[in-house]
Amino acid sequence: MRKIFCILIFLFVSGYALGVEISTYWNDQNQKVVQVNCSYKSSDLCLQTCNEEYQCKVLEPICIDCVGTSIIMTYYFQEMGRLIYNTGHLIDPYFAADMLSSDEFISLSARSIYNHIDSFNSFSLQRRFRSMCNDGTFNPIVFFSRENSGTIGQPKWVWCESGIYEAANYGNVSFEESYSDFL
Amino acid sequence: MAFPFANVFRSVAIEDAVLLTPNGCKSLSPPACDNDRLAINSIREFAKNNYRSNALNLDIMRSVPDGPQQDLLDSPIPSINTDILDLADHSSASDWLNQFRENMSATRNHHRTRLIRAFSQLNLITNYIGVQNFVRNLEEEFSDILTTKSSGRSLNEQKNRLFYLCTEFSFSQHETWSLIKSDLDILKDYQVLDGISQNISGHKVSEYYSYLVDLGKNINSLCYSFNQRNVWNNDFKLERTGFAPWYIDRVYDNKYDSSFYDDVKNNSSESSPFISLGTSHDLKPSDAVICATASDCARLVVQSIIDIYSVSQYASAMWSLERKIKAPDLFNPYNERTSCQVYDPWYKTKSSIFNLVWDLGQATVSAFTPGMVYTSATLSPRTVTSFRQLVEDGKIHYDRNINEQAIVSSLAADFGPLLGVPCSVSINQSHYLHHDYLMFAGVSVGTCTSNEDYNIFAQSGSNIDDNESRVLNSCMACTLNFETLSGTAAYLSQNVGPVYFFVRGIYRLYKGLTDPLNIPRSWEVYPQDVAETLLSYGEVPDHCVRDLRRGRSCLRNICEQSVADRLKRDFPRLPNYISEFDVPDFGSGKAYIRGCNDPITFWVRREIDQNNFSGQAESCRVSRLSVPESCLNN
Repeated sequence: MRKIFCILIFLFVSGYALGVEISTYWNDQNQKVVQVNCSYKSSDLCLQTCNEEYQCKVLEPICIDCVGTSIIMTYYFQEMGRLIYNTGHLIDPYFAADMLSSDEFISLSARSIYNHIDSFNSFSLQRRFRSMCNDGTFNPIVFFSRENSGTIGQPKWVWCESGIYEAANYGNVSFEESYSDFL
Repeated sequence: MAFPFANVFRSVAIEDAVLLTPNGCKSLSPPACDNDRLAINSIREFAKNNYRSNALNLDIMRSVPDGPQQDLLDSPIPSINTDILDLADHSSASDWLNQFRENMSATRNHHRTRLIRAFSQLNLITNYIGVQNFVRNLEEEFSDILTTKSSGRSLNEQKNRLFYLCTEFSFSQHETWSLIKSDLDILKDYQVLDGISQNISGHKVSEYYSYLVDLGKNINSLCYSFNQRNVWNNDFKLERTGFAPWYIDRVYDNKYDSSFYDDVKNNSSESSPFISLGTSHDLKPSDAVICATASDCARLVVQSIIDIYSVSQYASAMWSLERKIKAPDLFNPYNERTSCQVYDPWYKTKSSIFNLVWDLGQATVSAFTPGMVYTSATLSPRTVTSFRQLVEDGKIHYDRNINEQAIVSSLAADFGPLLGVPCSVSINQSHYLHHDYLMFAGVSVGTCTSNEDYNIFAQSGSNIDDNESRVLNSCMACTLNFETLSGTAAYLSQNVGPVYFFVRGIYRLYKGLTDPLNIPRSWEVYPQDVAETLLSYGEVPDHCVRDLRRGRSCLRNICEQSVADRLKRDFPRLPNYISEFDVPDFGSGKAYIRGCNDPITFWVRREIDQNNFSGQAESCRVSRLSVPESCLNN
């Protein structure tokens, strides 16, 4: 029993030691909070974001016109994992910290209340979001920029357990032959 | 504001979810003859009961719609005495609203799917493949046809694919012969969907359209060279189901089901698809392939542009793209017709006055001329003959080709008594014949020569005017039956004179200005009164119309009417109509306002009026009227 307990603690600590854990929730004042838990290896991220070493709680700004079935919200939820994809490049944690502390970001996940095209946290939505990470992350969160008008912008990065990766909007496309002819 | 949900509430896309509709004749937004207003008003269709069964025939669901302005040309004067919104088919307003909302949501979803698909496909294809590369790949794809490397069924299949490509590009993009190019050209300056387009793909709609135009020029010349080599000869057998849905809709009227979307994903069974999403995605193969061959990709570009065009025609009806709440004039179909000058509400008044002046002139003339010279003129209304779409400030406006109001005059001279020849000649400026000719017992020979009315002027394949030039009609009718005509003519010339025309003029003016349907009038009517009349009589009888117009109640029972009038006077802000009356001839009574459970109480006394000066045989006195607080605050 003790052995199992030790192994579990070891696994937990080592997994945690790899990086950062991000989660989102709604607080008592009905504001959306992004909680960033940093390990000692990745405490830079938390320090940059809110000057604390191990945990940051950042208020996410209000996303105008996000609750509804607008074209852009439908597009993002429908095409998550298909046309919106994880490029595989790790991003500089300073970039993530900058965005979190700037107050100009929107986050979406399978549990988002902004989802009105599918039922809340539906199986197909979870599958789409999980395809954004290839390390089995249970609840990946994708961060978008925020326009001046307060509406949602472009996808910027996705948090997976193994790190923070760049997210892009053009679909990872492959051709019959390779082309480099851009418009 | 809405604590504790204020933060979440501000995220709600309110403008897309709210419609404000005036239920009378006035509008909430200023009139304009542009696509925004016309498209928003076209949502009247969602109210109809048969919307779902009829949907595919409506312009709003077509692959290449004519646009909301076409309805104005097809029915310039809507019928006013019919229930255009099918309100009476539902037992309550909430039922009607539910159906309306469902129809609108379903249509909006359909359009949204088309738009997302169009932008995603264009994004992928145009981002990675330049026009010249495309053309090179097309030449390679179809090179087998020229070298006859393949034969039989596979050759026919390739020829079919080439045929689809060439026909669709020619139909949509040929400089001279394309029937829809001038419609699609509005996308060059159209900016309304740019916000969404840039969000999804980073490019504007006009950039995609320029890509298509460039691609079209190249593909059209490629197809020309194939045609020169007689590729589609007698051995070629065309399979019509392979055309794109927009083409089948436009050319074959949806007679076939298109296999385009299946073909696009499955065409290349031997080689790898032309464009597909990478293998790192956890996708089913059918979801991963964008287009199987180069020609499929090219045709997808056309289909996507056409989808964007068709959504643009009705985009204002579906979404509030400028973040303003929409205010359609659901109940008043005349608004957009008046602002587009298709309908002139003052036409009947103008023409009644015009006819009077003309008749008075005729009366004067006939007092002085010995023979009969009958003239007749009609003011013909301004008619809009076509709409052309123009883009101003990135939005679609309509340029009207108007046939100005013209005086159509005809001159008929009856030379009978003067020349002894029973003939009459009439020269008209239009193709309307204004005078009924007398029917003769004898033999009649008549000739009419007219510049026939079907002159169509076409400036290009897609810009067809029917600008009528001046039409001249000359009609000459002669009869051999002298007696009847002479007798009639002599009678008429003695008895038809200035008095006849004067009386006719006054009579026509009176009939014209009392026309119940075509002269605009305005009244203020209280909906509560109308509801009460309806409950009392089961309908709105004609004799009640005058009272209701003057803001008075009209109920069967004189005491009920007195109570209603008194309530209106003393409590002008009652929230609803009276749904139940319990009124005796003498004593205390009760009434219930809809939505309020507490009764209104009063005392009444019905009296027979002995001195009948007011014309009413009876009256009713109301006293001790009391309305409970709960009803006032409802």
